[in-house]
Amino acid sequence: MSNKEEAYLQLMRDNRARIYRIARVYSNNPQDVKDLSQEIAYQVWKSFDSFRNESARSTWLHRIAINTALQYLRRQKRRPDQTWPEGLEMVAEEAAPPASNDREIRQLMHAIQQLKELDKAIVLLYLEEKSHAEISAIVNLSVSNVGTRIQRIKQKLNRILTEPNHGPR
Amino acid sequence: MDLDSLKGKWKDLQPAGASDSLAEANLKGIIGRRYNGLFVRMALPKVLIALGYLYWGLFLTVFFHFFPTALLQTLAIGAIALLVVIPVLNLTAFFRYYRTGRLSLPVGDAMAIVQRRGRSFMQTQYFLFALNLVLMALLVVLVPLVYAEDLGPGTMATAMGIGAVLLALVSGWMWRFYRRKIHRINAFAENMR
Repeated sequence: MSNKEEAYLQLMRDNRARIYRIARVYSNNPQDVKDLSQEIAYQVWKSFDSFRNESARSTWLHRIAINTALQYLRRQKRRPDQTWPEGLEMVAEEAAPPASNDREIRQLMHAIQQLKELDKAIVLLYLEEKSHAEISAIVNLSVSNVGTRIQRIKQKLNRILTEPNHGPR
Repeated sequence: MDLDSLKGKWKDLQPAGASDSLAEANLKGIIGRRYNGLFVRMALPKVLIALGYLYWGLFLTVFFHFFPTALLQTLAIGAIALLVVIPVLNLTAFFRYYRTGRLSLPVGDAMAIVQRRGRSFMQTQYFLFALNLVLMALLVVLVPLVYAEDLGPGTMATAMGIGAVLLALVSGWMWRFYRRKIHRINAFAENMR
């Protein structure tokens, strides 16, 4: 196995959970989570040679992952007929347990899924403990704009979470 | 709810289901996918398959010509069904998977059924692959023999040689294709279990 392949596999081993969390936020069913995770892994491999050390590897990976997720969403919207037959959906649900047993995280996930696509990306990166500068580099916004948006997103999430009929219990 | 206080719990969210070794195999499958150029990946296999089917078609025509009885015709029709329909369905599904990155629902459904019966999807694929090869090999060997009396030994040997080369090309490519797909399809099959 070449050095490049080893480096790629190591990067993916280190970031498997991060990619999963991104896919989870941008997908509505367990199969899409798997598909999107795989698509992100493929896009990272395709772009592996283009990494220029101008940013941290994880920043570069996040940028690819979020762009891939947004493209994936756009493709899914163009193919709205791809629903799962009842029996098959059940099999897939059994195979993929709920995102978390923690009620707060389940509620947070549900609330994040109601945000706009860009806000989802920003809050995802914020939860991954990226700095405002890193977030701004990934989503192509100014640092001050990122700061403002994070404050607004927090308020919005709080509003959603305090709604009486909000999400999974 | 304070978003900052949830950062720790958020990072506890981990992928469930597929094992580490499966994820690793899946990634190696992705690496393999990149090495194949567009021509090798898309055009060449189709050309080889087309040649393979042309070969089968020619010799099945010969079967009809030399064995005009109802029983043999029925057998020939059965052979056509096995030789053409199953691989075409398989390959269509795989090409679709390759282009779109998604298995078509009938394939996914079939996989779920196969797995409920306790057999893995890949076992079924290997069986179909072996069946295709056996049937192709039978044609390559038997059909020129049918012609043995009419054709000279040189022509017969040429026919068998061309058949063998085509068989090797088609089966060799099919084997590569299947092997490359194993990682990704195995991962899908694992998720379906």
